[in-house]
Amino acid sequence: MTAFSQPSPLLEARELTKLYGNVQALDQASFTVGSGITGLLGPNGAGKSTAIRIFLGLTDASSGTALVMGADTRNPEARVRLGYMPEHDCLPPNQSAANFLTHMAEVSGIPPSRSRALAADTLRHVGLFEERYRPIGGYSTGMKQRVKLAQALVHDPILILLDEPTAGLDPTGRTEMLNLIRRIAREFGISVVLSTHLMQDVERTCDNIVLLDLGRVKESSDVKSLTQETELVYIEVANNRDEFISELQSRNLQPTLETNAISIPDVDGPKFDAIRDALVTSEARLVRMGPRQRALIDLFRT
Amino acid sequence: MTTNQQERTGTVFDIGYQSYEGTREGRSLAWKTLIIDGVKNGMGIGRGGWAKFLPWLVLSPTIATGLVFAAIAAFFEQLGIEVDTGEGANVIDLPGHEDLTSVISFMILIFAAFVGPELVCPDRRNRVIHLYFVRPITMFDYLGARWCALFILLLAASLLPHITLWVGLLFGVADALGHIQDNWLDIPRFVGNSVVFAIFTTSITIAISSITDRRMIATLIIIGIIMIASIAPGIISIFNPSDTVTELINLIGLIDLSSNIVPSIFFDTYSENYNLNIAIPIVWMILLTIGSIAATWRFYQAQR
Repeated sequence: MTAFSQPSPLLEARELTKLYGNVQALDQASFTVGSGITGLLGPNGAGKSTAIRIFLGLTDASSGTALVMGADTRNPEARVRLGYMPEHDCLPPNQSAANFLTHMAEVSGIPPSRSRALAADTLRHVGLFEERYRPIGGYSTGMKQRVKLAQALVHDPILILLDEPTAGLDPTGRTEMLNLIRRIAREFGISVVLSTHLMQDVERTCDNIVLLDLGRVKESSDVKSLTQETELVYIEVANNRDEFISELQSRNLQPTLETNAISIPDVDGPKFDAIRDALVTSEARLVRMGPRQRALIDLFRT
Repeated sequence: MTTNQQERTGTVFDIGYQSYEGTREGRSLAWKTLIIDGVKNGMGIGRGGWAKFLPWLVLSPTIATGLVFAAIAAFFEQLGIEVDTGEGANVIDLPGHEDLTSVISFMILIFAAFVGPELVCPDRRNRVIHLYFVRPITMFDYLGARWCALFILLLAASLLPHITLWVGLLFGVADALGHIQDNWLDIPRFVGNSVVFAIFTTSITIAISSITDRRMIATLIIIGIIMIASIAPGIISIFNPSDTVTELINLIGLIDLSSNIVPSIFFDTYSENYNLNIAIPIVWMILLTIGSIAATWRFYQAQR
């Protein structure tokens, strides 16, 4: 992992409000993004894209402050160590990936003597080294996504903003892209903001999340604490389910029948013994038993 | 006999990701990069044969015109006939720099129609522009650099025939020093005319190219505007308006404006040919240029 000092926080929104006419895209949203991988999560219209556009300096906030590594987003210098991978297609079909990345590195201020080497290195890291001299127009969707990621990385940023990076990818391509994002954060030491509505992507990849809903920050925390195991135990049996429930009730447990399983709250050591005894007495065959893990989707339900 | 172990001569190491510790040159390098990229794109350098063919197809006759003018002068000089392309006494009044400007202006406008859209339309069509605006540059940097790239191309297209003619005439006359003394004023005149023409044409071409993200449509619009603006004064003249009205109407014809009116100002023949106050075409050109730049800025702000 490359060691360099990262300003903290990398992104900071202070009571950020954005109005498009009568539509309020952001409503006094305050949050910070530190190092690691942060998921910017929310349903369509939650304000994710607006927040990203403000941080990239593409639009101004109606009120509030947005800072990138301590600098005002209206200052172009704030984007010197910032990378961005848009969701939509944004690549010139007639250029080779190597030439395109070299050009983008130079526009970012990397001297021409170094930009070509940086472009080749970056394309090697995203797995396109062998294909780097082919015109981008002939690339597959997965390869184009990698070029988009590479152009965000070519000037060695401290932070990259990825907008729906797995959009349009098949399951294998999606897994590879998420692995690459993890590698960028863990091995390259580059922090990542992953804007997505796919909660599985966030659960699989992110360390922290900022959940936006209707322009407001609904949750801002680390993923582990949000998905920690609860004291609710799920049990799935193959047969004698009613007998098993009766036995649980007779042992002062409070089973709740759910779609495919029985859930029991507040389970501790003695209660596990009681569950075991209930299983034996009812002669129910155990299929699965375990503590329930909260999913990020629960955040949307609350 | 060597073993496989002994045949190994090197080892490949994956040194992993290396952070860039060198200098970052800032917006000045971005300008330089965008200008060079624009000039190369405009002339089709580093691209396919068709991309090179169109700009050179238009540019070659422009330069050739300067050569032809110089060759004609040299031919008469060889015959021992005194030639004048400047302000001296006329023996045979051959076409000079002012006439050359009149001839090549149309070709340069067509050149601008092909090259200008090439510089700005693909960036919007391929949406690469979104990647530029999230780099440490501003919209002014991007548009300014693209404007400069087209300006350089149009200035070169305008100056090259003049330089060719000037050098050709110099080699054609017996008394080179005397020719320079008599005609040195031509240099600031054709340079000034070329600079003004390039500024004006660049601004209008970029503004029209901002309307659409399709190159060919932008090219056709530019050619269409040149044609319509040139035909319109001719149509209106059917109604026999006064000289002043005719001259005012001529101002909307881009070809007449760039081929005749502007050169006549620089080559000091305006008062011989036009009745209209000289300030009117100057103010009109300034307004057109500023209006085009303002329109370009608005188009890009709206699309951002």
